[in-house]
Amino acid sequence: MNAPAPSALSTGKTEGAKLLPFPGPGAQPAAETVLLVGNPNVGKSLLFKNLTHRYVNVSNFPGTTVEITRARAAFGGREIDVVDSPGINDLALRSDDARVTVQLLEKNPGATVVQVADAKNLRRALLLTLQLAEMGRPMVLVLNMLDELAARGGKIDRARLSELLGVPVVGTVAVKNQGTSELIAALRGARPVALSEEGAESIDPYERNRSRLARVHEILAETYTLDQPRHAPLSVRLGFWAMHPVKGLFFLAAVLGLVFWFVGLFGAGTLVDLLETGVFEQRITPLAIQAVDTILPFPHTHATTESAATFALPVTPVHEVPLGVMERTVTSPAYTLAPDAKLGTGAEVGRFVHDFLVGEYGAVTMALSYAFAIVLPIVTTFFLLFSLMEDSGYLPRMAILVNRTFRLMGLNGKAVLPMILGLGCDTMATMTTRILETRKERVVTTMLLALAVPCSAQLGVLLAMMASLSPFAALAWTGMMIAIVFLVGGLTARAFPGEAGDFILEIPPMRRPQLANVWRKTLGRLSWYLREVIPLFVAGTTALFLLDRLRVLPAIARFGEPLVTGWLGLPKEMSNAFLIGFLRRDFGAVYILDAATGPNPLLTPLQIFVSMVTITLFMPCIANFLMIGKEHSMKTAWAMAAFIFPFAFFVGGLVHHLGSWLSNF
Amino acid sequence: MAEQFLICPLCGFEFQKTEALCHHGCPLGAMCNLARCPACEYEFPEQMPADSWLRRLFRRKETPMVPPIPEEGLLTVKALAAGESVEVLCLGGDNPSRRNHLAVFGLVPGAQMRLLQRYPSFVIEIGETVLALDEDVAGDVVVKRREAA
Repeated sequence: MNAPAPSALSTGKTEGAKLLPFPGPGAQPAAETVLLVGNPNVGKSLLFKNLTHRYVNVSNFPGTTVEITRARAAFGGREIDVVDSPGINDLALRSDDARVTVQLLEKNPGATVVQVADAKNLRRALLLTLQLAEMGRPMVLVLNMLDELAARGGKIDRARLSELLGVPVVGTVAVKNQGTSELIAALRGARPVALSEEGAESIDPYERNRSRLARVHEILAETYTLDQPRHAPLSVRLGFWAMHPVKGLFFLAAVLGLVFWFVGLFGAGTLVDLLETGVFEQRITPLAIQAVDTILPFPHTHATTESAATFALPVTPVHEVPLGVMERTVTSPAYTLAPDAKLGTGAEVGRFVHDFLVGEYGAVTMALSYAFAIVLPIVTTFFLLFSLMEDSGYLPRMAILVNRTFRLMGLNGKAVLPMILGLGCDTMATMTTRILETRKERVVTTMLLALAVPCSAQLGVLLAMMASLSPFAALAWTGMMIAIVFLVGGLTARAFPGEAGDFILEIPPMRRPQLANVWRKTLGRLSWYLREVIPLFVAGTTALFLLDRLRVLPAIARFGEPLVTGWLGLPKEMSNAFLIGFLRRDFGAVYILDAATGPNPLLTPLQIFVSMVTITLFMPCIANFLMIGKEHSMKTAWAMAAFIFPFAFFVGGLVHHLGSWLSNF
Repeated sequence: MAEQFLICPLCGFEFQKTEALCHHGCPLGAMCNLARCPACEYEFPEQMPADSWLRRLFRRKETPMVPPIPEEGLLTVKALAAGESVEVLCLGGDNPSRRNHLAVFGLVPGAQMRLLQRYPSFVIEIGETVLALDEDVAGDVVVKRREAA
């Protein structure tokens, strides 16, 4: 993978991995520097973590490290700077990653080079070893993933290899933190590789690699033995199934089914019920109301409602195993003033603050309960599954399956990673589009993310809305979104100059994900998401509260009336939903959900469907807009917004008119 | 501005901008992007605008450039059956970035490789490296079958 590496040296804005605090230029450099070098996806970052106890983003996707991370570690009184580098396959070829690594080597002339090798792929590692050897640096060779080598029946004679190369050879299993202390001990014995100078006179890189390969084969013949087990390990067979043209599709269907169950049914159903009704409506909201009433008293009485939540384990969308019921009589935010009350200024201010905190559009009753009770469980379940998929090595296999289909949109299979991540958070996914090689692919993917890939927060609300419609509506909605992705993707690809990049993707082996790593990654993404999102929720609710208080909402509603009531055929109250949808489309969707459910729904099923389609096509949120501006340019962001919003209303109106026409029959 | 020759797209007459009849005393002045040919009076835009996104959107799909016909007997990965093991001869095509991209994965002349599958994408194995490729990239990798021992 060719991540945009030149920027990697300067900017540290990749998601997850951040440039770790490192003693500034004035600080005394440590006596020793260790450079971790190696092929992509061999575990350099994990080893870095083991050596320095600092976490960097680790995943089973080649090209995760696109920047240089360094940290200082102390080993038994010795201070050592450890530097992680992007994976490279060849020093001679002028790829961006190779350039970065060569620069690193040149900048640290006294550094010890620790080459990390995938023990299973010794051939490729040794090819790099021989190239590194020509630099004459003291080296240590680390054979990582010894466990996977053993599982495949391979054996490496480390003593003999060390003898042949003339450098210490250490075996590690970095995911289990095995062999780290041996590596630290071996650093003292680092020596330049004993090199035989045959074939080095040739200038042609291919010729030189050819002679190096010949030498590698000699070394392999003496040190590497493989007793192929009669049955390939399950993980290897799974890896093949996952990219098989037929079995792969079943595999994909199973994975999507799992995602739907875990995120759509368990996360958006069970967990949301538990948190929204059980925790917020029954506990936190009444408590908050009580607290605010005690501090800011003014004569009023809150209504009480019977709140009931059923907790059930979903089996299918319509079957579930009930686990328990929680019923309570609770105080609700709606209240009535005492009939003869005359509020003084103090009481009016009290009432204002009261409404701001726990009123209908209150910060606690609406923003926080929405952020923590609806969004959090869905996003958590999604990110958990996504990290699992990422670490197992399934995502690149998915890219193989969808490559031809994505070609229709001027993309290639690599775009599957941002597209799937977009189902979690479009803003985060917009950031990961930088793994794509050409600008065209990045723009098309960003566009599709902003237009038609609903993020998990919105998916949760949409799922709840679909529950009030027939399953046919859900199918129609899904079909429409897919059609729009292809239509708009295809058109954008045609309108935008340039070609999609080559699809050349290394497929890592399937691995059992390390739960600690998965958990850590999920938490990292979650905290990023919450930091990004909660201020937006509070800001949105505040805006809405103020608009409501200042009687601006009805005015704006009147302004948007021709569009909303005329073209979309919705009641004029829905203008508010779309208005707030400019800020965050899922937030707008919550309003639609409010209007769509309850004892006296404001909307007819067709109207629900029309608003659902329109709000889905909105730009995800302000943060996404700003991220597009940051990743591309503000001009691109405005151009996309100028297309997306009219398009959303256009399609919504089309659905409305088509639906009304059809219902005449 | 340097003196600029215009060619009339209708009659092929070649003339200088100052010779164009309409440029004398035209109220539109510099705002006008049109020129009138002094020979046939055909009016045309002076400069063809760069390909706009609108034009690209509606233009007919160009037939892709015909790839150079491989020499007789040249075998590429594209022509292999799934499961075949071969030796890489060279990386064809005149796309150096693609060649580098492949070479860094060990796909260099002399490397042994095996084609694992053809659909939905080509997947090859070089040692322990598994690589997914597009069809047209696969057509760039020239290989030779091992001689029967």
